[in-house]
Amino acid sequence: MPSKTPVSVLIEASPPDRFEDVVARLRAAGLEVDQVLEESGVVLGSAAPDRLPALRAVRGATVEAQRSFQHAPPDSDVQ
Amino acid sequence: MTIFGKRNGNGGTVPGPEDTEYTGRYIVLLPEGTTEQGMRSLQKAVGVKATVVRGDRPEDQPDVHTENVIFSDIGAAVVQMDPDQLRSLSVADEKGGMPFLAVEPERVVRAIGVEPGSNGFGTSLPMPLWSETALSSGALTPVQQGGAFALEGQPPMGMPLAEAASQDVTAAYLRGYRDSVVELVDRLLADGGLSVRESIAPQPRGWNESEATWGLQATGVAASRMTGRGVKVAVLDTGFGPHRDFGGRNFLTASFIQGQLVADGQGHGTHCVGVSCGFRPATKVPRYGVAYEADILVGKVLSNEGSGADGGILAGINWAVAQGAQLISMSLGAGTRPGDTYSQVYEGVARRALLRGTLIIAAAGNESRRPSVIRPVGHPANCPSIVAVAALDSALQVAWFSCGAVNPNGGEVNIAAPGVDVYSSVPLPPFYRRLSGTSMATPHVAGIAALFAQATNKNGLALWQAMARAVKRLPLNASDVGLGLVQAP
Repeated sequence: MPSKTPVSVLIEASPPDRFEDVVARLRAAGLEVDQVLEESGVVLGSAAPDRLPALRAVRGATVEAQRSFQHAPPDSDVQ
Repeated sequence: MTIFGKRNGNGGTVPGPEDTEYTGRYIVLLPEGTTEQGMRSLQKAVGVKATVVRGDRPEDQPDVHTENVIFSDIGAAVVQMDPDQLRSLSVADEKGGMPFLAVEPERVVRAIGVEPGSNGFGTSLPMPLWSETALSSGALTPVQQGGAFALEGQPPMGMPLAEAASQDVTAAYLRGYRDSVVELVDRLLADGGLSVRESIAPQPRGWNESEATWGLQATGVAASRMTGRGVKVAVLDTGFGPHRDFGGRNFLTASFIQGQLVADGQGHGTHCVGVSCGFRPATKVPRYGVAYEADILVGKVLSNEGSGADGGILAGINWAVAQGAQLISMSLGAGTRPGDTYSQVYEGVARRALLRGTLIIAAAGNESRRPSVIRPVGHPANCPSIVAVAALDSALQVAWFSCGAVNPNGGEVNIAAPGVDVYSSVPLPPFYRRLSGTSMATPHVAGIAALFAQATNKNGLALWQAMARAVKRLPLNASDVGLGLVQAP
């Protein structure tokens, strides 16, 4: 089974659509929710790569694959 | 709900969700073969008497859990010290002649812990997975020990102090300390050990840094009356400390890296906290910190290996916003290519943060190789609602590595700050180091924004505008330095 892609999702619910409604649609489309960042209106989670198009089609949700970050090694001249 | 913590009567035992606690004692690492000298020095400098413990004579061991002890076989002492004594130790160390290699707070380690994920944080719960801990204050901030000193994937160090009584446990306790010290020594050696001291020496041409770093002079911070008092500055990076210059400061910390505590095993985060919020040191080093009375929020979003992902960073931003931070300093980024657009998720989060009074400041990135190659501002500094900071050298020229405005629509540089040969705090001896990068420029801006917040009582976009109006214009391209050099109020 292919590994899941970590995603971050910005929720922008337009009334009467609620935050929870958008999250429910995301779950139905294949999102496995890890964390809900309430103050920011963001959901963190993961999904199988072949579910990403369905997630991106969810109304009120902006889905991005998570990027990774790497500092330079501690002995590097530039940080 | 966590509030800014003060140490309790036991000297800093502040349990968090992960049950990290401090015993109030400190581990002092001695050079090889200096047990007797170390014992005398401890007594002379801070009035602490310690009993020598020898591993080969377990029958006449003192109670290692309550007494001050020196483990002669591993070259380490465990002693009870109050903040004044710690300060005395630091001062004595500064004067030289002290045989101590390192001092770190002793933590309580429990042999049986709760497995991550077994505490009800399931996939369906809208609950944060991060841990929150109020840091106590002290001459050597007893920050959570992890980082270089964490023993991941190994058995817990030592045994639960409260339950430790038998000789067997004492042996385990000794073994734990041996492992801890070996880890610390390995780390010192891997980092070039004490020879790192040499890299501090030269000061940038044209600047006298005896009182304050060149960056604090060039930005007018050294001459400002503002201190950042009452302003909350969040630094999202590799964690913090421990470091002796942060005694008495208000800290709030959280780790978003699974299995790692807030202590900085990399050094980058401590350097950035030092620049943005460092204290005016009492020791013989120049002032290097901007908002030296600000409240410090440390969010560990990058691991001790310096790596992380959007999820942890977004969680860190969310935490800082929820805690009411006026500023978030993010000396981190991922490179972008010409034509790339910004992240809509970060942009949405940054806009919501601004509405709640939180301004996010991020490093433009170090991917340029000037003069020939200028790379675009990285993610997430390329978001329109996040301040992108470029780096200047001590001649107030654009740093050779500093990213520039290549992409439109958010990809601009907004402001510039000192980012070459920047002197600040690091967690390992000699405890200060010069580093270069837009990572070092960013906390200058965040710290100065805290001074503006104090001076003007503004936040969010209005705070940015107040700071933007005060910049020093430079005879350089706006695509490289934005509005110009940030200036303190």
